[in-house]
Amino acid sequence: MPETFTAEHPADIVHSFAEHRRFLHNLAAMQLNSRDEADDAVQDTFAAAIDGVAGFSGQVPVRAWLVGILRNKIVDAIRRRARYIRLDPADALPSDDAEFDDRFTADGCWQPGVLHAAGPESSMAYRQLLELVDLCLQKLPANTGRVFLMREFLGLEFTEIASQLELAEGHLRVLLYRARMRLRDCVSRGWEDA
Amino acid sequence: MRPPDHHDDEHDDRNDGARFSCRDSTWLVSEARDRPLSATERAQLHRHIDSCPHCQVASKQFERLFAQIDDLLGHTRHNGG
Repeated sequence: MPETFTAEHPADIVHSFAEHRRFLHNLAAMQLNSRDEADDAVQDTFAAAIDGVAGFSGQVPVRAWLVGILRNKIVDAIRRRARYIRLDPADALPSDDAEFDDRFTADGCWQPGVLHAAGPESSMAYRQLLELVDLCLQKLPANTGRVFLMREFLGLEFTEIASQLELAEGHLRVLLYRARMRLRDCVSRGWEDA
Repeated sequence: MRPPDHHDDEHDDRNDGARFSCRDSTWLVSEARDRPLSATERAQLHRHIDSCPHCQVASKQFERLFAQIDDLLGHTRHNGG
């Protein structure tokens, strides 16, 4: 769908919010503790966007604009929390370093056949590519996804994430590494299957 | 996976290159999202990728993935080309 932002009437922009609700809700739910909290963050986002729609410049897509507002709402919610979020230890521990062993040979070279396609099929529209990334994000183990989004979506500093989750920084780095490795696996498989 | 031993000391760099693996390079590609790599790390990474066809594929995949993540999450990218 071709999107021209600047010419749109504010009422049309507001009308288009609904199609982004599920995406926003998924993002919020990966960060916050309950559906209710996620619902509130999305509602607050829409309310703020409706208030601010007259000032929306159209420089970025509507969704990117909403996502930016949601980011602030989630950061606020996280910072308001009095207590730490405990990660599920089963998912959070660095276990035995073995998670990606099957991707590499004993001396650390890529195994032939695990790399999949270097890039997407030309038949895939950009919107589909982003949907694929979204799908792969949803497949991350809950804690891995939460840590990844605190860093890559909320843009929080390592020290803040580490103290929010009572996690050592080294451990945090390992979780981020795992998230990116899993995402690469997942999207590159999707590019090949397209 | 634990971070491989990285030597930030520039003088340590010369004899280290041969032991730097594809697996090590994925670690640095991930780290580079979070912090600027040291000159030694950058040199290790590029030297390895230049000589390794598998890592050329993998690093292209990471690059595309990261750009798409930025778009998906509403980060504006500064287009360097």
